[in-house]
Amino acid sequence: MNGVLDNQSPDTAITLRSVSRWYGEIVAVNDISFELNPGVTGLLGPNGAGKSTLLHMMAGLLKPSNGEVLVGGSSAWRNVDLYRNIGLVPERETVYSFLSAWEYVLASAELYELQDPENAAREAIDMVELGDAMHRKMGEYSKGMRQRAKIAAALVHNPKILILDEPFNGTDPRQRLQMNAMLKDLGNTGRTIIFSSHILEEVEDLAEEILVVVAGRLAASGGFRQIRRLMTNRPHSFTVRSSHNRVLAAGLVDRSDISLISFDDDLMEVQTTDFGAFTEMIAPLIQSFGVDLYELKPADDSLEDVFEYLVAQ
Amino acid sequence: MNRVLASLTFRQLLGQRRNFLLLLVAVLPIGLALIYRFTEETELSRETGEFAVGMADAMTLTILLPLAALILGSAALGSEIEDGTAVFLLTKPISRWRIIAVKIAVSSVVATLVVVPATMVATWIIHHSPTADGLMFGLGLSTLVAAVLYCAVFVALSAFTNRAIIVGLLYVFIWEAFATRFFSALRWLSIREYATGWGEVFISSDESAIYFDPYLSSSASLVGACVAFVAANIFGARCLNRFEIGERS
Repeated sequence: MNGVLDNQSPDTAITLRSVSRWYGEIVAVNDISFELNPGVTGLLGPNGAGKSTLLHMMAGLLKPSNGEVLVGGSSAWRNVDLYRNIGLVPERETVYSFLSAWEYVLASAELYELQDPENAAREAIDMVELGDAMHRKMGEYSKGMRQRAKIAAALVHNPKILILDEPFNGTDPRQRLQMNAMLKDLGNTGRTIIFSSHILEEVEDLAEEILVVVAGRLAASGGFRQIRRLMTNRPHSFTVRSSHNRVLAAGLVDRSDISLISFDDDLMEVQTTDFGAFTEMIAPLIQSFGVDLYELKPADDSLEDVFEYLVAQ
Repeated sequence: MNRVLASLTFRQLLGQRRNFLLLLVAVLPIGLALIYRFTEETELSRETGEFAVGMADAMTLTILLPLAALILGSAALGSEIEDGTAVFLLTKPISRWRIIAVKIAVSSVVATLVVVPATMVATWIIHHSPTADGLMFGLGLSTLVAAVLYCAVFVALSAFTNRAIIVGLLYVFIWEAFATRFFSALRWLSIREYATGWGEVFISSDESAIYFDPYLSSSASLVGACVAFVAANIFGARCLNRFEIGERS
């Protein structure tokens, strides 16, 4: 199982031990430990949480300020041979605009010194469904097409580990579904795949395991259900506007799942620790008190708020 | 040498908008030579030799060639690091020294193709002869050596800093054009002097000795050039080996 370090399994592809990375006085990654095994793992967190820094350290392109990053048991930093087993898809649109996708992926295959680079390039391009446009210059591509060309170039040597930084950026829904299916297939064939995203639904669709990173720290890790439960069970806020807010408050105040009631002019804010129970009981309660309800809406929690809650836990 | 790496670098260099400056580097010496030829009555003589050597030394080796090499050297690696395409190469199982060596080789070839023929043709036009005093081949060899060394230094500089152009310009105008001319001891550390010294392989007649008198002997130039070339390769490879994504790109 992926997650925080326990006893390292022989299948472990990537291990991070007490890894920190800082830039001057800014701490980008703070004392993170986990291990990754075959399968698809999502690295979830808001923008600026340290996801790219983590991925770059796993790809050997950044030196940890502290701790160690091991890939296949060897240090990732300054380990050029590592790239025979790793494919990296960076977030930046790092393609040579003067090359076609075919030339780009073929160049990648040749730089990996594959025995049959042309065949490998053709297979990789087919895998990302870029065959129709493969002879066009990448400078003319949409963002999603460039993304697929980058993925093909990273997959061309059939790596055991695939690292993708925000791979769904710029892709349309159809491409997203296709990429989802492709990455799932790759994960099912024993490869270790880690991808980053700041969108919960992207991770939910694809990852078997999730690492939640917030402000450089590992806030949570585990299966999607565990993470979802953590997120669902957090306190939820509702704003209520009714004909008699204080009467309604009197009916709510004794309930164990209500953690806070506050008033602001004609608005009342109610915080509950049990989202499901609250939504089930509120309508009958309002009816029983004979109160006219004008407005009941959940406060819009941003994903950042949710992440902050996880960190606090 | 890695063929794919070389081909990528070559195409990268050809696609640069700054390349029109390279054309200027090629055309300017020939243009000046033609003007000289049609305005001066002098036949093959000490004066034509002096003018050809002076132009190669003061203009080509000191200003034009270093600027061309700076454009090429920074485009070969520096722009890739800046726009992030370098990650494509840095995530392949290729040693860093090989990347640097290929970048230096390709930019040197392009610089050589631009500058060496222009210098040789200009010398021929000025000196009226392709063979007299060995001047054309001597200055051709000097510019070739200078092209390789300047490109090596500027590729290494691109691996070291994202301000390679500024640092390179300071190097050209302060070190090569000023300091090494006025403080003779510093000439032992000048690419221009190493390159000029190599010219002696061809320019060694009694007549040419009057106007061609390099500060360093050809053997000292050979050693200096080799040390500078190897040092630039090692320094560039070490910088690239320590390169971290995000620090400059």
